[in-house]
Amino acid sequence: MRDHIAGGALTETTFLVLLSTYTPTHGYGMMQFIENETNGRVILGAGTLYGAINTLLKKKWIEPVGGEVSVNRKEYRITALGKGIAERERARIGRMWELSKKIMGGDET
Amino acid sequence: MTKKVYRYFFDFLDSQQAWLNDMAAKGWRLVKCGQLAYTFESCEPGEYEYAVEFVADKSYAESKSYKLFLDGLGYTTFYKNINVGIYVGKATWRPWAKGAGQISTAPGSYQKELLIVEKRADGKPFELHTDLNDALPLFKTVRNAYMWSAGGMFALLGMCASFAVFLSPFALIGALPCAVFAMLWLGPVIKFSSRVRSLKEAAATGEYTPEPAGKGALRIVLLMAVCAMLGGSLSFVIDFSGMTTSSGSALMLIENSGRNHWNASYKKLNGFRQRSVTLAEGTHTFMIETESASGELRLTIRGQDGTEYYSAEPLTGSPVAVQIAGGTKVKLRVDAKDHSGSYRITWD
Repeated sequence: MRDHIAGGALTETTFLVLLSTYTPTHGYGMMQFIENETNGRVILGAGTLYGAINTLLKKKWIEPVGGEVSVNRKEYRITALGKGIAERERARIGRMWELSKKIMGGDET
Repeated sequence: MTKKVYRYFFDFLDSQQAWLNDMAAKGWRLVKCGQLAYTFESCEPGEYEYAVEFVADKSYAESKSYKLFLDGLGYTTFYKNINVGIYVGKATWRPWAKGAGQISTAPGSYQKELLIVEKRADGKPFELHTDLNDALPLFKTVRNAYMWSAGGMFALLGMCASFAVFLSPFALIGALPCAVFAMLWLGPVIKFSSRVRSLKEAAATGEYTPEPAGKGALRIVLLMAVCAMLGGSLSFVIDFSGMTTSSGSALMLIENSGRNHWNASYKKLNGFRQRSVTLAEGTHTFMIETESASGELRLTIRGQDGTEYYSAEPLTGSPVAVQIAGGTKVKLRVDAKDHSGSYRITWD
């Protein structure tokens, strides 16, 4: 399967935000999730997060959850389309992992 | 305890941010900001941290949504202007913005080009943009905004300089603030161009290495020189020969100036008035007539090379003819001292 010009790879920011929305969450929750799950390696800036949320909404990979707590604490969750994208990314990472094992040798985990 | 400080930043992102953090480190918290005035309140040194966000390319609705988002995360936000001015129903065109953000109007997004964001210090660095794909378009827009400002100023400077040469040396007065602003905006253009280039490289390799700031400077300076020349070329496009320049005072002056005539009548004239005439090849005859009720009036016709073709105080009602060989430009000038009457110069 040929990937189109963008190569099909998601940026880390995008993939991490997608993963964070498997459970409905809001902006602050996303920042906490990403910081905790990457052990502090990835800390999203608020501006970056805002842009990412808007992009994912536009692509319909996430959707707003109805009945917000308050006007500035909107919640989001992943869509079926978003899940498909996440599955594709996981498969790609898996293939890259296998390739790196083949070339660089060994299974040093 | 509160204090008020007045400051303006040409480098509205980095310098402003550094200064606010400096104040915060000394124990001052921002509570209000106007166009030039910052109001601070005492706090614990290092209790707060600041970041400055550029939102001028967003429409008002978008920047409000962003502000709400930031507030929801627990930050305190303030809108801030980039430029200073008084406005009523003004509209600004921002060629470097996209879509609805291009037109900025009061009371909408005008004077709300920046967001000052405050957070409680938590040991983590305060960066609003941590992703290259996010930072790159943003800094490109900032760079473009500075480029339009600086380029515009250099064009105005070129225009003033060429006016000073072809029209009147007084244009240099206008050229001075243009030069000052142009220089002040040039620095950030160079800085942000370099940053954009570094980010573009980083997007490819995943590593961010800041370029030494002076690297792209020459290219930018050349671009600004082109802008200045474009502005200066205006003098060649517009024919200034018919324009009258003057200094002094006039009471009830009626003036008429055209291709073949220049006349004025007035109750009182003091100072000088002048205009130039471009003469085609061949001999031209200038007819000079004046009326003097009182005061003194001197008329001069001077060539480009300084030749004085005519210089006298003509008598009332005695027309004078002056022959001048063409193919050159001459300057007609009247110098008046409490003169009441009129003058009329025609030529072929």
